[in-house]
Amino acid sequence: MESLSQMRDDLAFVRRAVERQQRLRRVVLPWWFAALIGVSVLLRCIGIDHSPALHRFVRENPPLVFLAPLWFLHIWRQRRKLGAGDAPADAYAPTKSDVWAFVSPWMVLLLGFGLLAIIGLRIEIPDPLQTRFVVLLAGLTAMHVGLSGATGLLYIGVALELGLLALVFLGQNTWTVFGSLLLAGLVLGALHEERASERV
Amino acid sequence: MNESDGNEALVRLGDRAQSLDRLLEHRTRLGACVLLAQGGPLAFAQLRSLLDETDGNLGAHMRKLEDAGYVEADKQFLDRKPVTRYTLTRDGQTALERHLAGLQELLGVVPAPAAPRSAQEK
Repeated sequence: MESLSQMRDDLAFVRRAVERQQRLRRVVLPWWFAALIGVSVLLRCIGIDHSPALHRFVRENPPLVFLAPLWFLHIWRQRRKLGAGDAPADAYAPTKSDVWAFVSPWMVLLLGFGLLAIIGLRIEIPDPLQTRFVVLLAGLTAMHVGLSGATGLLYIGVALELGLLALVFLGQNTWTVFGSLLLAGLVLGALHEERASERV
Repeated sequence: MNESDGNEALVRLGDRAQSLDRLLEHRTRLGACVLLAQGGPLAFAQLRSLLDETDGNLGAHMRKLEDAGYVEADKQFLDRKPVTRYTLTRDGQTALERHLAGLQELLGVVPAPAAPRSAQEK
């Protein structure tokens, strides 16, 4: 009887470990958030007002856009802690300069993304091309951040961005084609990231 | 339930207990196999954190699972740091399924002990 209650304890222990694993999977949410903002801004940029509610949400909650960098930082710290190698985590504790070297370009990029997204969504610039360019930059930056979470797709993301930038001055149809490509890239990136995080 | 039915149930219980995998009776090894079955390959550090185990203990348990052919270890260097990733093998998956089915049946036959009276009243 005692060993049966021991078995129950063991099963409860295993259940707790699985729950911990599932909680860690939820850190994937910010990638979806970035992807959503990126898709939203990009679609608006190509003239499709697909989700007025989402635009309104982003426009009315600029602090959330700025919170995105903090989420990314949090995820990075979680990942670094878990993927620290076989030795005890403390053995690989990053030095201050390691952290700064990693964080600084990201922070600049992410803050830039936040600023551009807000400028692109809030300020009406008279010249339509200029508006489009600012909104495009915001979308691209958001997409870059979303894609760079999925390391394997980072290069595809960069290539798509370059392709888009090269096509900034081309017509609406090309925009639509590339917008769809980007959308597919984002969804793939987010899916890839989610699958990767499922292994956490 | 008459006496022969009761005896039969006891025999079945005994059979079920026999069918449990000795190797998976330890919670850490069972936990590791369940986590690997759920989440694909996992690194040593991830398992250590999820199971809240020490390096030495987890290393010993994983070696036993590896020796039995239940898990496969893939050792790599990432950023010059050794990283061991474990995968559940087909044998491991089969053994885990059988063990969990046995456990479920065993625990289903024997009801859980009643909670203390004070806890029930709460």
